[in-house]
Amino acid sequence: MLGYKGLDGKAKVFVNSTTRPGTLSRFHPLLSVTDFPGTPSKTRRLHAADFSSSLGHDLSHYPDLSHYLKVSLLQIAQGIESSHIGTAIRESMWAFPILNLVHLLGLMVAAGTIVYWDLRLLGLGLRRSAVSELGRQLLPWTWGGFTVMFISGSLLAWSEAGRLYNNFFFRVKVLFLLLAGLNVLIFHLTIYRSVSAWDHTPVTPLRARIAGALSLFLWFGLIAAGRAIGYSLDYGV
Amino acid sequence: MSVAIRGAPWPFPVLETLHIVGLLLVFGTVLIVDLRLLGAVLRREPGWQVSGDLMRWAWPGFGVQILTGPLLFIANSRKFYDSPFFRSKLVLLVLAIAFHFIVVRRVSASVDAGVSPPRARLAGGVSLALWAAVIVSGLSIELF
Repeated sequence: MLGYKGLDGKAKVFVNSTTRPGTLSRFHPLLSVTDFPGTPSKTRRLHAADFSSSLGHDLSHYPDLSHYLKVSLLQIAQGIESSHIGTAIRESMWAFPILNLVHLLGLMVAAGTIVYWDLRLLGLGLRRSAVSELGRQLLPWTWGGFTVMFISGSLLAWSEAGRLYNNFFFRVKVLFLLLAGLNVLIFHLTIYRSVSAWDHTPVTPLRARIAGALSLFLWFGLIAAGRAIGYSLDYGV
Repeated sequence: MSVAIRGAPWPFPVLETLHIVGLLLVFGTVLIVDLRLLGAVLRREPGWQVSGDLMRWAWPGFGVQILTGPLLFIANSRKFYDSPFFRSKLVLLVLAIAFHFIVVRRVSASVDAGVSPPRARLAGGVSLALWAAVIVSGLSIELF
């Protein structure tokens, strides 16, 4: 029986329709690890009757929902790592390095075009090309490379999610990725709207230059953090 | 020096990161110039202009790579020397650079705005394939 005290003070249970009665799947870390106190783990039968019998009972020994949320993020990550796909990637001789190769080739295309787009925004490169024209021409390649990179990167993270959860460089990488996305969003919603006014000028507005510099910095950080993840996992630094 | 780079945990990944950043400038140029020759991007601009503007940034990138590459090599020279990927990378790199200066430069100098003649497409395709092979070989040294 797995339960917690809900925000409304009533008993709640984790019900997972994919878990058959009598089994506790390792694919559901919430069910396998965060046991309700005082009950034997593993071979308990999860019946609707079990849930209903506890509803309305004394809740004083039920932990709060926050207790489960705190421990469960790491456990979810560990559960992802030990899933079929995660294990298959990790243990295959070829899947991990090939995914890594695809990840880096996607990075080359995405970041190779982003660098020159940023240099144009800084007014330092491709100054004879119109900004909007360059964006129209290069950004489809950037997004193509990024999609390849994101899918392969997600599969790589899947196979070592449990170890990545506490990895400093992985957290930096996720943070920088979000910041890079935010930077693109802000740029497109603000200064890029008036691009027709500065499309052909070699010297770009300050806000465009800030966006370009931020993007270069964040992508450098993303690459450095990405490289550091592999080393820190190998050497436990 | 080899021991100094290998001994601490950080010099090798830091050098590798710089090597990759240099590569981004070089490969970004190669990618955009070759795609222009293929007629896939920036067709409205002349080939010589795209190539000229980009090459200014490819040189510093290449400079970083020339500095960091040998340092990475001497840190683990035996491993690199024995790696078939390292050998193929060096051969392909020489071919790609030679092809760039002998063919791609001349062809892109003759490509005007709005066109992408068959010989430009051929040169762009061959160049892109060569550089892709260089990068796949280079990455494979560490990955496999």
